[in-house]
Amino acid sequence: MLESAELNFNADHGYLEGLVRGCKAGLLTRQDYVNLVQCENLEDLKIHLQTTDYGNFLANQATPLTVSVIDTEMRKKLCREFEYFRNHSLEPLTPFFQDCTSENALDELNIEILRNKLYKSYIEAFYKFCKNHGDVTAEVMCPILEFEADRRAFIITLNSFGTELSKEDRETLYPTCGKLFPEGLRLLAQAEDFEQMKRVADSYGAYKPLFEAVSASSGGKTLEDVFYEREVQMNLLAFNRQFHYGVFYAYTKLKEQEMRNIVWIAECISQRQRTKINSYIPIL
Amino acid sequence: MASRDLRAELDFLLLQLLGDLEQLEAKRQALNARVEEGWLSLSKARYAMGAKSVGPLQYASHMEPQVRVCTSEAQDGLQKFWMVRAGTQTPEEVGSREAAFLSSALRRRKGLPRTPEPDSSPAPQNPLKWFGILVPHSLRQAQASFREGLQLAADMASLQSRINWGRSQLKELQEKLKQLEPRAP
Repeated sequence: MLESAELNFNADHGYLEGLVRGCKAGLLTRQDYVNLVQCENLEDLKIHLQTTDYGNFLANQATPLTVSVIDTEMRKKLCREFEYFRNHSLEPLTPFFQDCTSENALDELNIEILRNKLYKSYIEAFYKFCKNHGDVTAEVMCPILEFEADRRAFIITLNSFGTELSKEDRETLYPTCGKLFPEGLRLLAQAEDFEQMKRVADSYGAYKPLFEAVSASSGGKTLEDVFYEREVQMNLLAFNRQFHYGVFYAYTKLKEQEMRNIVWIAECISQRQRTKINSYIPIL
Repeated sequence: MASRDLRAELDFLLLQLLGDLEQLEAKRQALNARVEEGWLSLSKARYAMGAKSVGPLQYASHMEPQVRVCTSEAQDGLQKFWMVRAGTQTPEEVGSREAAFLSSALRRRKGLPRTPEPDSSPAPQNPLKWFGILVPHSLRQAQASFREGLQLAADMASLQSRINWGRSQLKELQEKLKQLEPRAP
């Protein structure tokens, strides 16, 4: 029975899965990053990017090149790829793409709480959608979304220390589709500093090692860095299985990390701050 | 002899000038370090929040400076600059209440001490809020670095004006000395 599902998958979605795997193979490699890091200025960076899958995407930009322009053009390229996938998708892949938007699409709202509540309801709905779909897609996507929900809870907590956001309000922003629900979230809502947050994480096998990797010094890894690394690991694992929709989500997320990496390298080059230039997260 | 006193004064002024120059250099290096730190912290904030989340798109439509620069000029022409948090009042003389960002020009006020005007406007909004309530630590660090830099900038302006004043004093004294002691053949 499972085999027939796999056989039928390719009839409808084989082309797109092949395409996304091809795109994934075009992500920057470690050697690409090493080359980028050695660039002296942004023009150099542009030349090096021309040898990658990015090609001439900056060809028509006015000099002088800024980091903001590089980021905008990369984003436009990803959006074009994403729209191509979406426009060529068939049921039931199509609704998957509708739910696959990232947080940046919700940016019109100014109010922090509203924004976070919207994201919470988006991720819970997406989680339910994946779970109901079942099959390999659920097996791949649900752990990824659980991690995303928990990471959200930790980051909201961390950023709320010292602000006027009350503990009750804070708790209403936590997504409930993660491993932390319900006990961990309740404990997290009461946390008042990083140490207390760490104690909550220590009770969860998945999160204890992550918190231990965070260093208190300003030169070391922050919690956000550690979470981004874990996210990259999980997204790469999605490609080890075939005939599921998770590869599309994973590719989009990996591409976003790649853009974060390139923007970071570009900022370090333009500010001539080479000490932290290697803080990017290699993917391939 | 009058010229001996003059020479002593000249020496004293010169030493003070050199000391001020050294201080100015040190403060300049510190200012550069703070500003570089601030920009790097902003980049870190962009990494965590998204490249377009920390930039001109978030500027408030009406910006009020949190810090103003006050100046005063003493009788002998020496000018001082210092920072005042908006919403508080200094008890001493209040110079021109001109808003100043790091790069904008200052307007001088010939300072007779004035009675401070009552300040009825509320403290302006912390610009950190433009980026949301739940901002990452790196953004707060950036703000702290830039604030320190502001203080250094005011100190540097004061030192610079003291150096200029010191040089003019030095010239005056040297002139006086020449008149007292015409050069021996």
